[in-house]
Amino acid sequence: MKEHVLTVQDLCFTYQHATVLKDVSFSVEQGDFFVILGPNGGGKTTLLKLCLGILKPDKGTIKVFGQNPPDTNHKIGYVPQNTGFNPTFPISALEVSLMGRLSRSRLGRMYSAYDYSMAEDALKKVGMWQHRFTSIGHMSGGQRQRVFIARALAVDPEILFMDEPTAGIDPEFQTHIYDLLRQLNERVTIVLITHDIGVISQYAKTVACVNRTLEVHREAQITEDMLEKAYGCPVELVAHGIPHRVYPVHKVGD
Amino acid sequence: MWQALQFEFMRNALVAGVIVSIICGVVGTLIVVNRLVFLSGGIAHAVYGGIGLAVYFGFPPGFFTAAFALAVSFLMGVITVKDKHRADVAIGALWAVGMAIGIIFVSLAPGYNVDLMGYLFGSILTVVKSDILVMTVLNVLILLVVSLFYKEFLAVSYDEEFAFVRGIPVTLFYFILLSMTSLAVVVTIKVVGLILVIALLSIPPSIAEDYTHSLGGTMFMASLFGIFFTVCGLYLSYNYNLPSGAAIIMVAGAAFFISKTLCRLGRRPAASSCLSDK
Repeated sequence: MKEHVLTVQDLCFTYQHATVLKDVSFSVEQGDFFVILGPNGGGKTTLLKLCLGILKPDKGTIKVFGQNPPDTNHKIGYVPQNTGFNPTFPISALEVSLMGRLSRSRLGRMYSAYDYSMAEDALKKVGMWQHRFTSIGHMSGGQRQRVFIARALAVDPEILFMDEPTAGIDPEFQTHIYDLLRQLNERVTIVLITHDIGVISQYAKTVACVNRTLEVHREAQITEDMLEKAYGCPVELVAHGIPHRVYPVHKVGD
Repeated sequence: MWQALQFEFMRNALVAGVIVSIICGVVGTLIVVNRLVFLSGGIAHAVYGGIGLAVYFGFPPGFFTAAFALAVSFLMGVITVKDKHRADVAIGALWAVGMAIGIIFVSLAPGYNVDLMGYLFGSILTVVKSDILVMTVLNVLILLVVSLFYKEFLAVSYDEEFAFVRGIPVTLFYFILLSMTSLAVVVTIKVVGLILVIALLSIPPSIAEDYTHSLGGTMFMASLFGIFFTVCGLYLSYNYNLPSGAAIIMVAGAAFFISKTLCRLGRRPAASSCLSDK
């Protein structure tokens, strides 16, 4: 059996009296491509932030590589949800991706040549190397998002936590990013939040539906039940190359 | 202006203006990009409480005011660290309470032996050699801290959450920034007074931000703008017999509105700064 890199047990989290997550238990194996699916407000982002130690659980335990977050965060690459914050901040793409090379043990030291080469590699992988000196304020949302992915890759992570990493990126490049992730997945465990059903069918090894509670589906196959759990209503599914309507039409008010 | 330089107080004023402008350029840039302008205003005004206590109890004003400012910034930090962008009520309260303490103790103080107007509106023309020494030491200290931890300050200012995930002690850096702010405020009070401190901390970086793409560039340019404003302000103050602090701020304010207007007129709609790409 493969090693569990992430184990969550009986996790509860309440935000201002509203229960966001209740009795969540699951584990992620080494080498998994773990996709988290769920409606807005279902607790996906909260779950990710709990795993990173940004938020503290009310109840239950989270172990990343057998330790409490954020103790093992140096092994983690993180792509936050693109909320378009701080768009006028004076920082270039290269400086953003170098942030992936920050570490507590090298506080107050300059970035090394190795750090620069890792940042360069990462920017090249997402096709943003030619824009390395461009200020993030001059980029489109999609370009900025690619820089955030580069920043997570520059970490040289053992596990990648990604919160809707391809939101705002054009379809052509999305495919490129996911192919890149598949390649990385040979040695890096990936935990990814998405609304893109296509990602699940093509790339996911495990799917988890989060809506206050969490349910894991080991075979990455989309079932009607799964979608209804995730979205709380029937969902119309359009798959690439299969132009059949597989599920009943979604009526407003369902 | 040149003949003014034969007076020692004018030379001291110029040197003090330059040093304080550099401090304000560097610390002010961090304040502006971290959206802490209001908080810094709070520290500046609350410091009046320290001045009042120093006057009443007869403490050495410079040293005690600095200690009081550090304490206020620490308190501000504790109040705001949980939710930095929604702490405005607490900041406003601390701002006013600090001033109230100052007003009460100044009124209780026997006699009227201190030039309190100097604290409120600045007294750059009364700067002496020992003041300049303190300013220089502080300037070196701040430049050292900021250049040593430049990449950390950049990361924490831009994306605190990611910096945290990378293991950077973000709360510690927040408190370091607030401490630097409080010390910058104390020396800037000497130049423009506590009421106008906020302008010298925020106007130069805000203009500079429109013309550079990097944090370090903004700091450098903000320092130059600050120097320009203080020198121009002093010139106007000397020639037309105006209060120096207010003259400096008027120059800065005029430059601010001219620059922002030009920027708006010349800007491409989608661009976030005055510069074109690259």
